[in-house]
Amino acid sequence: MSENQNKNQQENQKDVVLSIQGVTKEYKMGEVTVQALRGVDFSIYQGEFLVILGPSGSGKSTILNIIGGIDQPSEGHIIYKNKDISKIREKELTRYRRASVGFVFQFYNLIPNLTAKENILLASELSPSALSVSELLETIGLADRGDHFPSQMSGGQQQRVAIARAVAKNPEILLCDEPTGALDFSTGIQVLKILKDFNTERNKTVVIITHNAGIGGMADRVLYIKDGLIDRVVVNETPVSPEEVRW
Amino acid sequence: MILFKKALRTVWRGKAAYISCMLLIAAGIYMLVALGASARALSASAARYYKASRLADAFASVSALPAGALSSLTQIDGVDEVQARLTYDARIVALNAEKLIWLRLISYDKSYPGIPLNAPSVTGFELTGEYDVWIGQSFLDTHQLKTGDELTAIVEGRQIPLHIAGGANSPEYVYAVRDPSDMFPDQEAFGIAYVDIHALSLLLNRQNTFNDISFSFENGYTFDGLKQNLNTALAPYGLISLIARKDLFSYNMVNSEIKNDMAMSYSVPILFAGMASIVLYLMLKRIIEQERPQIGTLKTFGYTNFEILAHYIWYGLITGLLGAIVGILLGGVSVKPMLDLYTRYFTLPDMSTDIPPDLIFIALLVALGFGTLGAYAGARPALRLNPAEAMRPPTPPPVKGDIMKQLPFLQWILTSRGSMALRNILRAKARSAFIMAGVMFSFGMLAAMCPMTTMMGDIILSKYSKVEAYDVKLTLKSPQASAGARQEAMKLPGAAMAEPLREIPAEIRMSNRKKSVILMGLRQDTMLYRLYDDEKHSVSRVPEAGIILNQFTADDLGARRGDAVLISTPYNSEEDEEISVTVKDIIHQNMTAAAYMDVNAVNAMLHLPDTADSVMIKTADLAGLKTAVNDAKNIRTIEDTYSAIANIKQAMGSYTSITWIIVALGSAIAFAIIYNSSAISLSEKKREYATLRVLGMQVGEVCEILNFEYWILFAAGCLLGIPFAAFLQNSINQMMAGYLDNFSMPTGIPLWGLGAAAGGCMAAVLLSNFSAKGKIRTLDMVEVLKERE
Repeated sequence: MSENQNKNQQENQKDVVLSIQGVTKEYKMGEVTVQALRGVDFSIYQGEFLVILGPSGSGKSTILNIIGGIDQPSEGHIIYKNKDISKIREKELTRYRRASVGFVFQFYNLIPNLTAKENILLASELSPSALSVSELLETIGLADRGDHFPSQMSGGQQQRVAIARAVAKNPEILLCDEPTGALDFSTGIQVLKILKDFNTERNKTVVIITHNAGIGGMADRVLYIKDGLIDRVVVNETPVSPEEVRW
Repeated sequence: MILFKKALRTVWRGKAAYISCMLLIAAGIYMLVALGASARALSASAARYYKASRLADAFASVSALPAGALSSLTQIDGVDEVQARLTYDARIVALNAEKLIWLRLISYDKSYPGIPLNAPSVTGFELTGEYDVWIGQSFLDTHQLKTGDELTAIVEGRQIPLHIAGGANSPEYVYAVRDPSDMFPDQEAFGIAYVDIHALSLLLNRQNTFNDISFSFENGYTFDGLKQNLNTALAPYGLISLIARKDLFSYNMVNSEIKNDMAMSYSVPILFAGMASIVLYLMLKRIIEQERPQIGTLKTFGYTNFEILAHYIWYGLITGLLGAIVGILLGGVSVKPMLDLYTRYFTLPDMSTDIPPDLIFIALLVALGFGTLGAYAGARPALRLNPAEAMRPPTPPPVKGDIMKQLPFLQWILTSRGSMALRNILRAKARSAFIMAGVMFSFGMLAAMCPMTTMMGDIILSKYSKVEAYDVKLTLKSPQASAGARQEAMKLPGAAMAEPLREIPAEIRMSNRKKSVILMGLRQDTMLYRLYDDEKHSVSRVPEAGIILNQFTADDLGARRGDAVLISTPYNSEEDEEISVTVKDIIHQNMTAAAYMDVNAVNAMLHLPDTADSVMIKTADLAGLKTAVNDAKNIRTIEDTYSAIANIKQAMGSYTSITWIIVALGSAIAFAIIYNSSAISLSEKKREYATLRVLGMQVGEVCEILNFEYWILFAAGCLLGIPFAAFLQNSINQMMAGYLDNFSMPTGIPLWGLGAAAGGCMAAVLLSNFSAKGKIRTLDMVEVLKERE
């Protein structure tokens, strides 16, 4: 049996959480039509740490939005637990987001007039299997900053709160849009460590989209996107730890 | 819960805008609670009082009804009870040298079984002595009189000592004026006094005859149904007037006040809450635009549209709730002073200062309803936002045409800042229209209301100064030969001119429409009672034949110049039950329905000798004249125009202050709208303004753009406000005509009213611009430009 065949077999044995089939996406920006995705196919596996890499405008954010159920494809299917979420009504899509997905944004998107703790509570109130807010604050190292408003925190601290808020619902998949994009190197590493811990300790799927190739080193798999298409997929046999990531 | 906290904090952060919105709602709710609760208290107290004191269903005034005729009145089908009394207006001496003081003596029959009709509520002792009296409580209070004191009254030319046995209030004199033309009660000059019926009949030398009859009806019978029978039955006894309870002046005034206040208590809050709702709509619309990423985030987490909409509706609910609380509290504490104000005019017992629970419910419903409506309308776009789209900056709206290109000459007139301002106005059309509407509304309200602060007084005073040109009117006890009456009058101190007058209660009919008026018989060349036509030119002569109607009478009858109307009076003979007269002219007057004829024509029409029942006198010595007629036997009443004017001026004080409150509210609305939209506009454009500051523009130069924008909208709003003010004035006049019979305000807004309105709105624009300047000065250019779009 060849090495590639072996890999495929291993992959087939993994549980597919979400499958993207023939997805295209067109946007109308005023009078201009933008073809963001031109036909994308791939699967995301249970407990996987997936990094989607690509330059600006390649379509990676669009993929994340579609996976997260905050945008819908023009064509194609998104299969989550045997259900095509590309065809469901807004109400069901909201239920999907509520129960299954956590989001981390590049610019944190914390609610400015809620404290760190309240921002996390905002998400945890939505889930019956929510994680403990105080434990999460402990985990992200901000137990003493729970009562601080976003404006009273650094960017790194805000992003950590944003991650805590995303995982508070205990979602199946954690989707992160350039989570280190607005942070300095050492703060970025701290954030990546929290994400990795969530992935390994809770066996949850983490998908990161970034243009930072360095982060690809810690992924189980890296999808390269170019001009709205998957350029290539690289399976990482020996992912590095977050502390070893360099950019 | 967390989202609620967010709502609270957002409201707190933008507190100035929300407070002004809340104050608008609070002002409306204040009016609802203060006026609503007071009007209900007045209504409930009046209803209780009328029932307990058995206010009659109809009132008649006759020359003399013998006691023996009473049983025939009781036998009229539908009449339940008849009560006959004697009334007499007696002058009181020595209480006040400046004013003529009158007590209406009303007979009281102690032997009447049970509670009589129009029963007085008494505090004090029984009427035991011959001249014991119960006197109106407000009269006692005004003159600081008490039980045991004594007064001297002139009755039939004799000075009679009246012993005060107690105080009394009457359901017929809740609003106590001696004559409806007095308009406002003057407790110093007029009061009522109950005297034992035997004592009064002896004093008046009218044993076993009555001049005042009250009726109560059996269930199912109405005044209109019984009027004909009562007229016929009373005619032989010199019927002077017959009116239903609803036309009793006091009853009518209480009802008008209740209706007026009730209507105001509902219409004003809706107007104010409606304005607040529009302001909230604009604010929420802006918040939704500003919080697009937050809405996207919430949707991304799985918050439903309903949860997000509910969150934003909280903004409106919080504003509405606070407005309701402030309005209810302020309204609640104002009920007592309002009722105190009522008691200056209406003598009613036990007016409750409690706020009825359903009124609180209505207040909450209005405040929360309009708050929710405004917030919902503003927040609705949040529902349409796709989460992914919400995370991106909105696509700039396509530019459809540019005014500067369409009207190229503007480039020559306007600076680049002026062009920016003009484009701003045209791009945010909804907001611009709202500001314009706000200025228009405020301008209209101020222009319509400011002149009213003086107009009411002017109208009433002009009745005395322009129409009734005499100084004193003497009403005679019995008609006298005109020439003799005039000669006698001219002998009085200071008399420069005297004119006899006929005043006859009449019913004028045209086809099936009727109107009860006082028909005035004037000399053709009258100088002391002037009639003006529509153009305010004096009508030189009263026509020799035919009748002049004022427009209240003509409108009610549907009569026009040249029409024939039918007149019936207590003096008509049986053969001439109704006499046909041609309408010669219709004149404009602001108060009371009236009809005028030549005095000789009236006498001839009714087959009366050349007599008069009143004399109008112009005198240079008013005090001397009053002293001279003080003891005259044949004089029933003395009307002194100066005292009437003084009384009206005093009474107008509270009316004027209410009008000024409305003017202040109009200015507050203007400020709330202009300030809020200015704040919204500033927050929308702060990046733009910060950029201009970074480019090197001074604060003043940046403000110029905003100021220019507002002055254009101000000018447009004021121009639109002129027709709106006329419309508002017309509506107010119609409303007043509906509540006050035979009263109309002059139309047309004086120039000073327009100026005051423009000044009020200008002050609001200046204040907003001043506040905006402060904000532009403190703009953090780095922070603003760093903010993500």
